[in-house]
Amino acid sequence: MKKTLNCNDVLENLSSYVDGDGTAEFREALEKHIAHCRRCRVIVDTTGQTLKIVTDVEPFDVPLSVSAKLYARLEMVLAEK
Amino acid sequence: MQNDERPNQAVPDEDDFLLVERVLAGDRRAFEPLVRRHERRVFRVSLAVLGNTEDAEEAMQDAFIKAYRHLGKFRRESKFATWLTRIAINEAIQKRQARREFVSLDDSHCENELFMPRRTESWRADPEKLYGKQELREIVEKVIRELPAIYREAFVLRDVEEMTAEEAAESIGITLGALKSRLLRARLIVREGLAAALEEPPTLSKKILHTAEGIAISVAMRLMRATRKQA
Repeated sequence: MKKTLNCNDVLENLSSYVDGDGTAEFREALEKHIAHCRRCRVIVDTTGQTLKIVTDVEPFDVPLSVSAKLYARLEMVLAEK
Repeated sequence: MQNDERPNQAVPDEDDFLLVERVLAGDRRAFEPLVRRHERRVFRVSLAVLGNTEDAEEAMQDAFIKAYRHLGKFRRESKFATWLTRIAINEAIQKRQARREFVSLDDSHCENELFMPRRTESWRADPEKLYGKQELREIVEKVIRELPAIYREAFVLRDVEEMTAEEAAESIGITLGALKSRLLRARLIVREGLAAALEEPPTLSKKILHTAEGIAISVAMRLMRATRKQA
């Protein structure tokens, strides 16, 4: 990993950073870049925030009617000889 | 509102193995708790592939029935969840192909190009303080549904279902590199979509409506669980 990162490097390695992956050297280099690059800092921060929101809201729960029909159909299958 | 019996991410594998053994030994009823434990994941991955609830519903039923009928083929080398997810994804992909909808070239030709974020202003306030959970969930669901299929699959498996990148790649049947590249694009598009939605402030009437809806759903879920227990 290069010692200094440009904006494209930050974007390409965004996933590793927000997932908490990568070497200490890489994380340090990225943090050094976003300390003086406002645009990249916003992208990194709001991507992290986006993933936190997605986890927190627990999207796509099974609708009641969908669940009920699943159990009704399974009931028939489990009753087969 | 979540069903507290369905913590997808925290299902101990050993319990799954025991249930599988009971079913194979002839206790068919032991399949029901297996379904309950994995229902949400199977629904989510079916929805991720197919993009709409109606098709996902059918794919989910078929996936569980297929898993039940082929349970003897399950080997303990992988988690039951991974094996089941693979079945669910295959089932959903077959359905997508049957409805003659192919993954558009528009979706894949730009896969290796870097997605350039457009909204680069910081967010005014913490969205989780600005919106109710239900309202924010609807925004998130809409943004994810609108993703092109190949990005939606990667995003749902990795960031909604919280599978590891390796597990997600294996389940979809793509390389780790392809998964990571799709995931990055998906994350950037979801961020962009969320940023766009957040530019419109929530209205008070909407907030009240969503709270009422949340209570209604919560009551309905409790009733359903109580009925299921009695049955």
